Amino acid sequence: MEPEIHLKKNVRRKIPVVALGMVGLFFFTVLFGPFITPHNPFKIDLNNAIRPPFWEEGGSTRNLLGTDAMGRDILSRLIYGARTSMIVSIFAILICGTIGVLLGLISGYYGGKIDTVIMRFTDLWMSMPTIITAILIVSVLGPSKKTVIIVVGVTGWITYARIVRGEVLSLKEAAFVRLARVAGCGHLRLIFSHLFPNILNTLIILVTLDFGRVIIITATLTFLGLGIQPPSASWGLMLAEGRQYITYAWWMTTFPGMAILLAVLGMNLTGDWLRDRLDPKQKLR
Amino acid sequence: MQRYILKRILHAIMTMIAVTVIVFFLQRLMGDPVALMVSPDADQEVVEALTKKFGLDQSVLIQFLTFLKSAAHGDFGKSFKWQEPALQLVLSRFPATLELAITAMFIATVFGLSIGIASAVKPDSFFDRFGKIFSLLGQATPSFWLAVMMMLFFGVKLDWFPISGRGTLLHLFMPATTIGLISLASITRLTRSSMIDALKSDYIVMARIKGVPNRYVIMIHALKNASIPILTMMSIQFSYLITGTVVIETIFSWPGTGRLAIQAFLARDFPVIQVFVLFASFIYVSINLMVDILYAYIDPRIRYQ
Amino acid sequence: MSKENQNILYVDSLRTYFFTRQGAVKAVDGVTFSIEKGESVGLVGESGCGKSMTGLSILRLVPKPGGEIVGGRILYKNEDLLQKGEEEMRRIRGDRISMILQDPMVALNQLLKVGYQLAEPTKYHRDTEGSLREMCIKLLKRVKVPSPEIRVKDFPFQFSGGMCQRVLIAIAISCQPDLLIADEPTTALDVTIQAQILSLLKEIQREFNTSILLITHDLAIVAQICHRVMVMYAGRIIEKSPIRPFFKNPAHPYSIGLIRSVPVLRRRVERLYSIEGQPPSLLNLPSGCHFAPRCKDAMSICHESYPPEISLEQDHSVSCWLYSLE
Repeated sequence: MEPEIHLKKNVRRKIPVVALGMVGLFFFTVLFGPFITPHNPFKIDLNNAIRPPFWEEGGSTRNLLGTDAMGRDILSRLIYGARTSMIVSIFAILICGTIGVLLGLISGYYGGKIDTVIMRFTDLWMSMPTIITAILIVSVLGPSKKTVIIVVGVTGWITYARIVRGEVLSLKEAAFVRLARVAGCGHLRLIFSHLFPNILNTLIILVTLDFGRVIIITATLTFLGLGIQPPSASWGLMLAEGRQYITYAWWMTTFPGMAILLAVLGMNLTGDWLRDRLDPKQKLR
Repeated sequence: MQRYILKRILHAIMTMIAVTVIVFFLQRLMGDPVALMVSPDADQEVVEALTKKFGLDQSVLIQFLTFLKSAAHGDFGKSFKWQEPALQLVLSRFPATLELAITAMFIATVFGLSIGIASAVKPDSFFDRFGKIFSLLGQATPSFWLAVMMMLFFGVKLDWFPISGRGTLLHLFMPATTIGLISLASITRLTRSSMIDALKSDYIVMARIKGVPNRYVIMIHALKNASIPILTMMSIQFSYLITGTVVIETIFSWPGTGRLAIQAFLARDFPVIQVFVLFASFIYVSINLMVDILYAYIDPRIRYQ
Repeated sequence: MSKENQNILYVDSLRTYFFTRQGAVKAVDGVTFSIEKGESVGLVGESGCGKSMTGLSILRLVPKPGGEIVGGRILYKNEDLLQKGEEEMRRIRGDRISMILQDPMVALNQLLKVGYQLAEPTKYHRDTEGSLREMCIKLLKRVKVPSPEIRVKDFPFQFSGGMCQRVLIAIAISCQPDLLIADEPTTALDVTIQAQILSLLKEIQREFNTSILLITHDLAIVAQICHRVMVMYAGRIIEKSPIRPFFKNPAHPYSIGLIRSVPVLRRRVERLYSIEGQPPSLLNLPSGCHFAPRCKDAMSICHESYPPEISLEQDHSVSCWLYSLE
């Protein structure tokens, strides 16, 4: 067959304004949260409890999105919830990223028995679905923000390890690596100065796409009671608390869920866009 | 082929053993079970008697062996909360979860595959764009929120379906659909991309050159090749399914093992947690084993290694 | 009987373009030729000149996103294939006109048994009474695949490249087509296997009186099995000739360059000959003769308008201004 003469129709993807906007908003609330919350998210005001959003009857512009069962302003709690999500996500990704990347680098670079051992270990870890490991660890450590970070971090490293290992395996044979080795480069320097920078692109995409998983699993665990505990302002908690009032206070559950949806969607779309730009060979799926 | 299957079975067994070890030793970290059972100012003698009764004065290794011995007989201890044998308790709730899981998987697979294939065959059509948006949204939606929203909409506002409990098909609809929809999103996306990749291959051109009717080109030539990554995705989906049942059963008060697990967790009912973890791992490892064997049937290259 | 009626295939001013963001890539830009029954014609040119696309256009299998046949006629036994519906085309493919592709390892579906893939044309084009398996074994025997009874149940990855190509040939002849399009059938194979495949093609042609359109960049194999040769450059056919006259008296400067480029064993040269310059971009074809920018004998008219097809002698024609003044 002749080489492909025709080109894809959308060679240059548009910059996903909407997605980046969502992510930007997310980061913005995280950084400037305390300055833009209209009310104190923890202040209880039982007289103001269960107020609907301002466009409904009974609502007021004081609490734009309404209040929860304890009179706390939902919008403010959403903003604080964004901060909590972000902090938990960053730490969790740091943990699973570090573990995963290290194991992937070692496994791919050294190969042989070390690789086999690490891969077996990965298989074992993969056989335990996230919720199972979560329940186990939380049973031991007790539910809290720290525990959630550990759980999410410890259950998520597998993807990083696998993909990094794959990259290292293919890069190992590349010319620049061979040259460096011939020049007498030591193992550690090879791994960190030569191999690592080249997998950075893939890592960026991975991290961006992983945010979604992290946010959702954090919220899920928190919702079930295995995660962040009250009176923290966390999206998962808001949903759990609002569940009882679902028949007459729909806003208590709808808004936190939408916040999660938008945050994850924004990160996923951004990750997809980054993948189109940085990974033309579609090594990642 | 036999060798491959045997290797995989061995692998599965070793995994189960490793999981068992982990579960057992984690339990020891939880603290003294006796302290949980008795009040803080109980007699020292009572504490000692109980400790002896549960064999907790023995070395860890012996405790482990004892545990294995009773496990072999199906005895995993008694639930603190419900005072029933833990294994029986979990097993009794399993049919409900199975009903939910199978229905959800069926919805996700049947619709996921169809929409994925249809999208791949007519890329950039209206149908395809709709499918893409649906996938994107589905992958970003937390299952518990979707469940609550469905409850709100179909259960409360429209009052079409009951929002809790198990009984009729109506009861099954919302929980199964919630889990199913989220899996559906991922399956659709991957089916579409795998099929599109397969359809670009030379063997597809070859099939058309031979005059193979279009439906066979897609369903036999392309689908067979696409099914390997799809199968991989589906076994990952199964892991999410387990998480999903835990969440959904809790929300809809569906009397299955997932809900049991959360209740046990909240009550610090360790025997039940233990059995649940082992049981869920067992199911998951078995499913993976079956998927591995399926791989060998689909891809002859694996058999002939 | 008119000339056209003896033809299996008559391609008239075929144009196949690819529509991209940057414009239309004119892969096939006005190609006219005919193939008679039982004759073997070589279509020669560099990569990217449009020869593979010509082959695919005949079967109307131009790659979909972007590719389209925009003009001309393709007469198969006096019926225009471009006017036929998809189902009619499907019935012709694999039955009356078939094709073999360049890389045999990739052209076969690795997950399906060879026997299954071999039987497909017969399955879909004939009402078979007898056993398909028997027929497949017979086909494999004919293309000289050893132990066909065992091989029929095997998978493509268990075959070598040469064996795979034999399987492709077997598939192509299974319904005894009138025309076999062979797109670079030996490019992906070792030289020793090449010879075997070529002689197999020759045998098949003789046995079934099948016409062959051999698409290749390799003049040497055209010399071995073709009756006639057509040279293609940048989307157009620039010379057509029976084999002997072509190698004796190539007309077009490009053809001359091609023949000179083939290194001759036992003759020492200072430098291997190659034609200077690069083929033009199919997006931006020069006005006038497409070869003019590279041609040493180019005259001013060559850059202005495209040369007509000029008949030199019996069946030997060329599209070059050099020959119009004579």
